Amino acid sequence: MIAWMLGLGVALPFVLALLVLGIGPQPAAELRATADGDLERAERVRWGALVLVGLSLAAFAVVAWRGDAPLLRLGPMSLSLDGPASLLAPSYLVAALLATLAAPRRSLTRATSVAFAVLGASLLVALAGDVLTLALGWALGVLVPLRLHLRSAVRGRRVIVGFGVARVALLSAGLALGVWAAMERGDAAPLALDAVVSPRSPFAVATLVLVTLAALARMAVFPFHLWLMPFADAAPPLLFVVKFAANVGLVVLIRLALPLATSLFDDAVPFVALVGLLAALHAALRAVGETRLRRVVALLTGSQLGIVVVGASALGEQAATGAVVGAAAVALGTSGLLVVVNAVEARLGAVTLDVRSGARGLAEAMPKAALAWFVVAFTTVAIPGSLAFVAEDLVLHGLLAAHPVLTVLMLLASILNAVTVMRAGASLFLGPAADAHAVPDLLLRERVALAVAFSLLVGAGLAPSPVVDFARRAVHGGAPHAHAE
Amino acid sequence: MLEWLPLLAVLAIAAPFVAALGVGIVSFLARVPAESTSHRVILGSLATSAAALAALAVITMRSGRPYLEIELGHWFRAGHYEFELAFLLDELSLGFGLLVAIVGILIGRFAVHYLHRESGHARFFGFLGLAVSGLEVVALAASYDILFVGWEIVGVSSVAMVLFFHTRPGPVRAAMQVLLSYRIADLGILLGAVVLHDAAGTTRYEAVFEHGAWPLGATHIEVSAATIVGALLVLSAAGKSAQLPFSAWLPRAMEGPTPSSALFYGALSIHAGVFLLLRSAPLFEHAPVARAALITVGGATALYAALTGRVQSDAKGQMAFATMAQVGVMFVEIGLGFTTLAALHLVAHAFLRGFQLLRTPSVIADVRRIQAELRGRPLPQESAIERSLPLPLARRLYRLALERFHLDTLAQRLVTGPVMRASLLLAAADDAMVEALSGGPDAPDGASGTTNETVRPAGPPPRDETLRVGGGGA
Repeated sequence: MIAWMLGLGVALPFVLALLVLGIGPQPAAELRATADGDLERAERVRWGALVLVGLSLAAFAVVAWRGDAPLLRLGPMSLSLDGPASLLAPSYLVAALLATLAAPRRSLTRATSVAFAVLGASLLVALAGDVLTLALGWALGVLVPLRLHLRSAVRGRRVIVGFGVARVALLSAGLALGVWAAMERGDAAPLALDAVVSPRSPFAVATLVLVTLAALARMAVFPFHLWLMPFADAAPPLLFVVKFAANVGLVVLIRLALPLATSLFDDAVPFVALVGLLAALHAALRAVGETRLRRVVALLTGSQLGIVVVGASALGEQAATGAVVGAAAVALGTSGLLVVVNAVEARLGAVTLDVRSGARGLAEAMPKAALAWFVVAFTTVAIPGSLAFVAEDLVLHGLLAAHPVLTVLMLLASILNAVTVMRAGASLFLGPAADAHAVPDLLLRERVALAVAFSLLVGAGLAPSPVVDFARRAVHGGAPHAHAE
Repeated sequence: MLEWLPLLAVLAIAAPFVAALGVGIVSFLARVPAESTSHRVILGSLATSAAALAALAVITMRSGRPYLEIELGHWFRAGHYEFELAFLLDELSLGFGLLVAIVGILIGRFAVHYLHRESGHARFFGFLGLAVSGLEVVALAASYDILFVGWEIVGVSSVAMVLFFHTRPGPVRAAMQVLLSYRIADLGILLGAVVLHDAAGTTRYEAVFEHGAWPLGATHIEVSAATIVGALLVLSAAGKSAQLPFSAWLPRAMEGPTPSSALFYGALSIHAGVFLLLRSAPLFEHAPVARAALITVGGATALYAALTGRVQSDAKGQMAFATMAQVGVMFVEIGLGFTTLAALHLVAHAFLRGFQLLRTPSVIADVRRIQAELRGRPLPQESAIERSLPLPLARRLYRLALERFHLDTLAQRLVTGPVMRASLLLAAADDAMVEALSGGPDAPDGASGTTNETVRPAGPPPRDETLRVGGGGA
């Protein structure tokens, strides 16, 4: 019964996607969204989504509360809530829930179904107990929004599509090689993840390279970050949150690439840490001078994910625990920041932080939005008392003894990230009020969503033991499957 | 009585924090509280904190022990690492803690009238509570790990206070400079704590400095580790206390309202670096190179600030450099081992400078009163040293002082300029590669480019209803 709750938790976002296709209003480009009927339908989408995503979260909460990592088998496919997924999957859902609550009403059209389908696909990847489920979730995450991207007017849409197709091909090829080798070995369960990333495979190195490339491409970290900018420019609000808060590239890296790398090469860890560090530094440096708000948040997320990779690569219990906690904090923090971004864009359109034209002074008209930005931004960049601080502290202590230089450079990325959020906030909210006199401040539902994000980030930061213990158990992870249904 | 210690310590730290959080949450979810509500809540919490600290001081004195430690378990732990929650009660921590509480109350009381009808009244009191809470954590911490938590809270509050008049461009630029200086300097204490974990297995003062009440005690860690940690702590202290090479932010930080300037840059926050060094004094006994660095930084800053302060044309600017110079002298005192003198200097200077900064809005009235008292006699001039200098040297120093020894230019050329250039270069490279991968210009539907124009998200365009005040269309 408990195992079926897992299935329900994963299925509900897909059900929601279909429901939204049925009841959601047409996108504004095709039909006037000003019509009262459309606005009512948009609200129905919101409340339907809140209920179904909330139920999905409740299902995972029940499974996690039982604490015995059940395995759900459906033919050759299986789902399991163990390892890092036990913390990451709920954080994806919380991020989606908050973004849905705060989403601009006119963005809740049928196109929103794509975001919920991608959420379901992300859950499939995070909870996958075998190669087929993982590959299916991975492919759905790319293919479902494909039409949306192709129809987008943004330049660079081919880059988004190209990188998406490439990462599906890379992961599929890597996994296929692993399955083939497992079948050749006569492995009893050739589709099991452990079998696919076995170092005994003659294609182990090729599998490692392909899977790592696919994961890094999904994480949009340097040098696979090129799709990030056009995506940030073009994505609808909810899809933007889901794609960045639920970054399943990290899951693949932690669950597949890292174990295989460490079992194949003695000196793999510094290499992976170096990749993470490069990603963190590149995104941090790139974000400092970026003038588009959406890109700033996307790059900030990329930088923080890089820091998470550095922590995950340390292999020690502290750093690995810090990495899992950090990934959850990134999901929550990113969703909080994007709620503010979406709220501002709903009022002003796409926002450019043009240094030449000076600050926009939105704080005069939107003081609550300004407060929310700075509070969430600083909790995201590891201010003490936040969940991100706990994560960074753990990573730091786990890493310094082994890689002192990497640690110092990682902290440089952290400093740049703080400067970035401050600079973006200053450009947007501070300075003389320019064109913002008639802009309304945050609505109640937007404030509630941000207050929840803040409460989770700070509440879990002030009393982090339950989260850290949970993450520690997740790191020891691979808890033996107690039972299967 | 000792069983009350944990509760009192938590009260001293948490009361202002909870009050500040309450003001913030109410402001965000409902509406900004009335002036009387916000200042009563915060000042009440500061008074609670002060009373708890006074009780802690009495209990500590009556215990007959030179210091007491309060164990509150751990904040979190993973593997062998445990973030312990422990507080230390001794002369230094209780002295600084009481100083923070008293000055906080005095300046808060002053601000009740001074900021009357300012739009940021509640915001000021919220951040006052947060700052005092952070400073109490710094004061009472029993380890560098915990001290860092308070240290960061103070930094955030300080930046927020600089931004008090956020509609002016000056405070926004100043806040960026303060934040950057703080974050770079924070590296020192963060890395120092981790190195201490490696060298001593803990960052608890008791273990690092072994037995003995402050300022006694000796560290047993190796000279090399002590030197690294000492140098890192000097870096952090220099950043927080606006010593060279971080001095440029202090005069700019005076953009905040007078009470916040008095609180942060006259009385308390500016002395947090000195407190850190005083707390770490036994470590410097064991690290002569770090001591030399400390003396050099303090001495150079005192000289720089004394020279530059003399050419400042505004009262708060003069105060900023005078503060910097005095703090530099405190650094030297600690470096030379005069820790008790430095502690006394800190307390006296905090009260004096806090008072002087609170008086700066009335400086013209004060000067007129002094002139009236002098009955036409000229104001005393303090130019004996300048007159004794050779004219070319005096001119050169005057020019350098006017330019603030080019610190801003150096920071721009060596730090911010290269970082921004690198960032823009990376952005240009990305745009070029996206362009190339997209097969060149390909906007059949009139889509805008990615480089110089704003690109609208694929969602619908902004709606008229969202632009109305109070509109519910968002």
